[in-house]
Amino acid sequence: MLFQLAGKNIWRNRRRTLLTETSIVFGVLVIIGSGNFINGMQRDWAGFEINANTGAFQIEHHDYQALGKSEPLLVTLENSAKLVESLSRIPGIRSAYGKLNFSGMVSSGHKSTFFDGQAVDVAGQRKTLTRQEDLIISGRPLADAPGGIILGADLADTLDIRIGDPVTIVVRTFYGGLNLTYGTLVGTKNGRHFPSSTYLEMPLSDAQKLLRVNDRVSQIVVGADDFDAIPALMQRTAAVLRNDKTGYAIRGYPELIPIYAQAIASFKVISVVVGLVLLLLVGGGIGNVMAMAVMERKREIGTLRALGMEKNHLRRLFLVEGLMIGGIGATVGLLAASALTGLIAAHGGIHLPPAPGTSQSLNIIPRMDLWMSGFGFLMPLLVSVIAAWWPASISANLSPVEALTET
Amino acid sequence: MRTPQKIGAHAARSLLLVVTLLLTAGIPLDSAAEQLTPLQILDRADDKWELNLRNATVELEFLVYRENALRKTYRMILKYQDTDHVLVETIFPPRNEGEKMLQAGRRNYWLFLPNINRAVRVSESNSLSNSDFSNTDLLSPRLSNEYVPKLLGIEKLHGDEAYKLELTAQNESTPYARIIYWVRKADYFPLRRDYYTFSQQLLKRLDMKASSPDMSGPDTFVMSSVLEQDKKTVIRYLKRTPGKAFPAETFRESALMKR
Repeated sequence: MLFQLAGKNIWRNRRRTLLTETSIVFGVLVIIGSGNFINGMQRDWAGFEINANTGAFQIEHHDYQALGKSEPLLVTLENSAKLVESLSRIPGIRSAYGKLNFSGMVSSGHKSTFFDGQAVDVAGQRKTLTRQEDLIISGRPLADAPGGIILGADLADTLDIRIGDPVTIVVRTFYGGLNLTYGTLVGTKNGRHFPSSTYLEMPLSDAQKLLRVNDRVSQIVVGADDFDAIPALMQRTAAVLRNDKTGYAIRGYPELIPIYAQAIASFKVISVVVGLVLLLLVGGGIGNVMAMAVMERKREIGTLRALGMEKNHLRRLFLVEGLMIGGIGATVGLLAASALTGLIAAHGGIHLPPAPGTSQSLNIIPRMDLWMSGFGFLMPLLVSVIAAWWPASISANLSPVEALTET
Repeated sequence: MRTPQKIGAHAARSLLLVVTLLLTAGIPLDSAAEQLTPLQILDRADDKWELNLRNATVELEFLVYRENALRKTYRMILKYQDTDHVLVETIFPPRNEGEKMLQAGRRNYWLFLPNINRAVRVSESNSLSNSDFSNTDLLSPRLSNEYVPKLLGIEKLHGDEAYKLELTAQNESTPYARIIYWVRKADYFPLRRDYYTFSQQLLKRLDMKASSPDMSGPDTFVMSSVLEQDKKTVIRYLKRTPGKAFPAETFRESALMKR
């Protein structure tokens, strides 16, 4: 009965109701849409980095973060091949490979400079980082054959060398002596994870021989297919490694991707602030509509009060009207945001060009974010009720005589 | 009456005495020198280099060449107590003034940077002031401590007869796996070193000479890199003040920042 009456009242001034609903729908659409966009961006960004750079997570010596910069070879993992093999057997892990971080001097024969190197198990990397090739600027990725070298694009420019040119690498070995090897530049690459001006990549077996560190790696990079199952997979892996006496540290992709966690947190805060501003505007609109309704319907209120309608009943009538306006707007907004999200996703998402200094473009496919959807749906309802409260109280407190005699 | 046997024994004793006296007096004898072991030759060559420096202060000039052009000039004061205790302080250019390299014991190297007022531990194979010399090349000249020598033969170098020694590292922590060392036969003056890595690749070459005949050891060192063409570093001793006694604190890492 109350809902029917409220519905009829809303329908009476259709133009005003439509304007109010439009503002609510727009507000809800922006809040849920931006939440879905950020959710999609978060997943696609993480997905790209996981498959091109970091893997789902990495396992390293527990002292690597403390000593890895000054003495990277002293905090390496021994018997890495066996460890990779045992990790690969854990359900949920697609593949794993070892990488070794080191530094030294690289020379073109005319110029020399320092490098920060990364030696990788080429076959394992190919299976684990399926988008690794996206980072290649020129030439090709490392092949299984020894002797290939990949340089950061800026480092290759500094040395003034081209694909196919020879390079000389000098390093300090695990034991402290100097060692030297020759290689051929097969490719240049660029990425957000390494400084292009110092990056050097070479096959793991070549580097282990050069550095005289048989079967040692700095990290084991783990690949997984199910993005949402990564936290559980990390826990399972930690449980397996706990039995080993070597102290391991496991670092997940949010920690491995530079500024990832901070960027996502910032985006979330921005979207919530934008949502709150929109809700204030929406709340103001609903309050205005309800206040106008009370002003215009004073004689009607007086009649209802004269016929014996209780104050609380009258207050509830206006609150239900506010709730219905908010509910319709929130529902339509949620449906519109979901439809728009699905439509953009079906058309391949939003393509973002590469950031300055990088070569990787990003394709963002928006995805439903349950938290932001809930926030975007429930907040208009709450705001509608709060905004309708004041006009509802005014209407309830009107005396029937005053209301009927007012012109 | 003296029998022929007695005369022969007397002559032999006399000859032995003359040879002993000559050796004691330090008169070089070619025949005696050829009997020196490779380690003795290496030790004498080490002495030629080190005795110039022991308990001395040396002002030296450091010239870094790239593409055959002089790119950087440094001046440094080297305080040398012995093969394990050396302090090098940069006095020129003003930008690097106050930088110090300390050897505070065998394989214990420290670099002090005045801008950040901090001393950081460095490796003996690290480059000295971005030159072609590593720390160990200049600061630890006694190769006999680290390498096992073998005489490969005698050959001519710069017109002089020279011992050609092959030095093999005693262990893998030594910066170079192998050094081929030419030492002048006449006076054990060090002439040239070729440094090889563990992969048996030639890394760099050091040529040494004396700027005047009065110098008993080398005072000019030219290090050429095989990594880059037309790249070398020249070190010249400008002034040597021998007979210095340094307080023990001079060679302590903890004292670097106080100076």
